[in-house]
Amino acid sequence: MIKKKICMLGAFAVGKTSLVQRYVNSIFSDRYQTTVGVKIDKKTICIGTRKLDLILWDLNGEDEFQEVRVSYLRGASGCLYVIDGTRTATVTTVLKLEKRVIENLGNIPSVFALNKIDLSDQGEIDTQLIAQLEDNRGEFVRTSAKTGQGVETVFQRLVQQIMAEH
Amino acid sequence: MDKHRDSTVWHSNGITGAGSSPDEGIGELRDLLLGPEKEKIEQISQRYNNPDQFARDVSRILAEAIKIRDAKDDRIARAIAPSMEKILHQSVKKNPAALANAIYPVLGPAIRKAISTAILGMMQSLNHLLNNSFSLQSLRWRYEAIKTKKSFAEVVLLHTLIYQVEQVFFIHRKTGLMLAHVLANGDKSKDPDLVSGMLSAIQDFVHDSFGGEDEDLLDTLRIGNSRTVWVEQGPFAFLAVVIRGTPPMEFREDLRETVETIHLQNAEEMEQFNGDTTPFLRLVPVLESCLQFKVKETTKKKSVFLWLVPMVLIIGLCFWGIVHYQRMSRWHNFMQELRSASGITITEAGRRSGGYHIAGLKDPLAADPATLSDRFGMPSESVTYHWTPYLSMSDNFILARAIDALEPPTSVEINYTDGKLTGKGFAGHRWIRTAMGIVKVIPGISAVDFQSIVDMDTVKFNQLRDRLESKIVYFMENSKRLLPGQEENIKDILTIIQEIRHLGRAMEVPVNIMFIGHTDSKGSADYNLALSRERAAQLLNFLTDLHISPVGITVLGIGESTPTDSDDLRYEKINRSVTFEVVVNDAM
Repeated sequence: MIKKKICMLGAFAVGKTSLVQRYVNSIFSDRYQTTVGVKIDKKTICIGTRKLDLILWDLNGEDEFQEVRVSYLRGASGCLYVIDGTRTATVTTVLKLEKRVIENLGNIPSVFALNKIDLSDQGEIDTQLIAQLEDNRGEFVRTSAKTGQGVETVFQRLVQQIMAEH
Repeated sequence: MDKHRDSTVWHSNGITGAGSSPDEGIGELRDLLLGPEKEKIEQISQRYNNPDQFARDVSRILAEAIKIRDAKDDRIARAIAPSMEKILHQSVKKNPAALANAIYPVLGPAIRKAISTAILGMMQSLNHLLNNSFSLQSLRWRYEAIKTKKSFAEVVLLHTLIYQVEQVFFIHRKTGLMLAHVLANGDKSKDPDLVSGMLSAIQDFVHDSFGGEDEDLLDTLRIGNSRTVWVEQGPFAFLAVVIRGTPPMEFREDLRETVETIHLQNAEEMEQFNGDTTPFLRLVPVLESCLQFKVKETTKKKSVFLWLVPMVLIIGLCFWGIVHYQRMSRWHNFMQELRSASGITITEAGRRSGGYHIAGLKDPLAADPATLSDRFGMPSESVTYHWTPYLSMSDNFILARAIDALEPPTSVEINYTDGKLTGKGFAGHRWIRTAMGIVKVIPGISAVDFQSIVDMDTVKFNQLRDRLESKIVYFMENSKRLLPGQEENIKDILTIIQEIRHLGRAMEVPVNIMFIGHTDSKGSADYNLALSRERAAQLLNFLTDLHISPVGITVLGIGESTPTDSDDLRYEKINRSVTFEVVVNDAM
């Protein structure tokens, strides 16, 4: 059995938890994020005949009041950065978080998720900024927690990267 | 080494050469100062670098070295253990029979010990259960279970358990991923991967929030009053143990040793852990050894019920067995006796409706089975008989039937052989005559012989007759008057006649007594005949006056016809007399 620790990072209320809620095994409530700062879920993915357990560390949303604990990042095999497609500020936060991850863990496999694309008509993020991100970051997936669009892809892309390094 | 040798050669040259440089001077000085030591170093170096020699050197001290280190700590054992495991694994893989043969002598005792331990444990559990099932305390606990909505087993465990390790997590420190996990039997766990991650996160959270130094990590979590999580840190992974109750502090030492052992044997895998937990499956037995538990010492008093119930059952069973055996034995003996009893033929026997039932043929003279059953200890009311009467033709029954019919006096002994009934002894005339009549109608008797039965009445009758017939009543010469002085004689005659008559009636035989008158030869024959008759009549008259009935008495005169042979005067007197003769008309 292969197990991998994945950290989910993003600004406050970008929909990290909602993004995975329907696809994971969970025994803890959301209160953990506001108290301990992390909620842990599990997603099992099959790669051929092998099973891979992704232990998802759903870290609390970063904002001006609270920071992601660096110690929670330790030992992560991959990162999932989540951006709220309706808020430009969340891009900044993610980039800050990415920088912090690279400082602590180096260049580990990572995927960016542009969430809430079902609300794209309400979007305020500059399309140029998104295009720039897509160009600079190899893995950039548009997702919707509401419709489930892109969610499986996000994890598959991340797993592919991780297994390439395994 | 070669370099070293070159250097030595260079120094040798330096010593012997002229016009040496400053370096050569130092070399010369070194040779002068360290010459002997250098040779020793060279020798040691040669020994060290020669594998064969080095192996020989190490072999001399290896055993002592192991001994010394073993006394100090158990690191040698821990270091060798993985290699030993591999060797054993390979040996078993290569040839399982060799190892099987080697451990065969210890397998038997080990299995026996395991089984006896398991049985002992089961007995203790049963005892515990019985103790808790019938005691007042148990009722209290049941009430508590209802009140707190917990299961009864859980409440019992809470009250009797000192501690129990419920779960053991072995968690990779860096990634927070679970490497191995074990559960106590029967327990359920939430997803251990998630719990491991969260435990790891909480560790980091607590360390970040309150910890100072790197090693200031969370080591205990307390959950309410009943559960604790003990965390034992290792360099690459930590052990988290969920305990119900209060464990002893020595258990912490055990956990520390476990963590150390695991690290000693698996440090490389843990350090290079990349998410593959397969190699850590082998840690499961080690972690299982941490699943310890201890319950409160129960009082030595064993449950009375544990012994009482089987004891009562055994005693009851024994009692029932004995009673049943006795009853069967009595019935068997009774039946045996009944079957051998004369006059009884059993056609059907057995138990029916809680009692016994016997049917068959029974001679009325056969022994009463009820008295037999009493003798064999079987209450007569417990046996129902259905007898069909019949006559048994066995000798003793024919004899018994004859005796029953004849009712012989005690002076008579009756026997029966081969169809012939015989008798001996003494009996009355009337009984003999009646018996001869009855015996003809008794079945099974074809002949009768009562010749040996003496007829006592006949004997007596004959005696009386003889006595009477010997009596003589004398008369005066030429007269019908009795000679005086014969009163006693006549009284005697009177008594005899009465007895004869009585006996005759009793024997139902008609008796006639003849009074025969006699005369002497004097005078004419006719005269004498008349005189003799008168004399007889005179005697009858005389006796009639004495209340003798003349019926059955015949008076007869025979004159001088039967004189005595002698002419003696004494016989003349005899001839002037009356004599008696008793005549029985019926054959006796």
